[in-house]
Amino acid sequence: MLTVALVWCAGILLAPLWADETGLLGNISAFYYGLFSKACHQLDDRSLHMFSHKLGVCSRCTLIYFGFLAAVIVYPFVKKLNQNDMPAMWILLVSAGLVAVDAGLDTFNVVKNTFLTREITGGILGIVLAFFLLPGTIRIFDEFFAPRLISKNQTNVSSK
Amino acid sequence: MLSSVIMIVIAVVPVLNFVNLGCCAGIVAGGVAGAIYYNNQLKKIGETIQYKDGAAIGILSGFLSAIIVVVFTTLLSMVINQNPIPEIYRVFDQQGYTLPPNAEQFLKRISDEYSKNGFSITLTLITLAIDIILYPIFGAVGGLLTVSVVGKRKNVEFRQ
Repeated sequence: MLTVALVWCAGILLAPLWADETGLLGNISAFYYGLFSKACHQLDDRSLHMFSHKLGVCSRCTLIYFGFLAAVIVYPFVKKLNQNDMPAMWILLVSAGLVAVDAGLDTFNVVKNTFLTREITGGILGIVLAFFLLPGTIRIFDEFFAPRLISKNQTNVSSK
Repeated sequence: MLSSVIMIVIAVVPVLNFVNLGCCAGIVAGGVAGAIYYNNQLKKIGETIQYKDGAAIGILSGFLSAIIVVVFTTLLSMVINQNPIPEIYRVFDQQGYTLPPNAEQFLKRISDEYSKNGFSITLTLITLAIDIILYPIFGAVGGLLTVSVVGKRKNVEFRQ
């Protein structure tokens, strides 16, 4: 998970870094811009810039992915890796709701969002997502060596 | 299958495909739907979905959807038989954007392929490479998130 997040976030920074290069580096930059264009609108006025080029994704997505990466790095210091219980579901819903409200109010011209609101809401969602996805990913490895889960209701039915 | 259908429909239907610009939300939704459906099927036989199932559903349906979407869009461009590159140049001109020489060379190559074959093999292969990376990743995210929600229910125990 850390490797995927690192490669992903590196791509966000490498796209503008190598945008002016020719040859292989230029092709890698173009590939990353193409890759991220499927997942983000990449609008210039809504993106952070580096080396006079926009980053691979918009400011909200940048903070989602970097928030996720930061949370994956911090996770082992906050929770034990074998302690794979997840936060309450409302935390995920609220953080996703904040992004939806921020984007929705802007789309319908109720309140114009700013770089700050996009980054804060995106960052919160990225951090929260890591705390839901990481325990699950760790548990995948356990599941390959453990018997399948069965519901209590079914156990009761079969015991009758 | 349900998962793939949702991913494909969201990716190919105009306007609806804007959903994917929000961190590939359409692909995540496909993974979620597939995992929910599979969990409902498992419930009937008294079993509960596991993280490896959610991840596998997302990855496999993402892989399948990526191939179908690329084949569909390529066939569509062959049927329409219209070269989109002059339109891209027109938009760039309107915005006063000057293309770097290597990008211009690349677009010319794609334009030539469109004129010759009705589609661009280079663009198709690049799109396939990108989609084969993106779809399984975001599909797996959807599958894992669903299992996180379902797994919160405490009425499960290991089969004896």
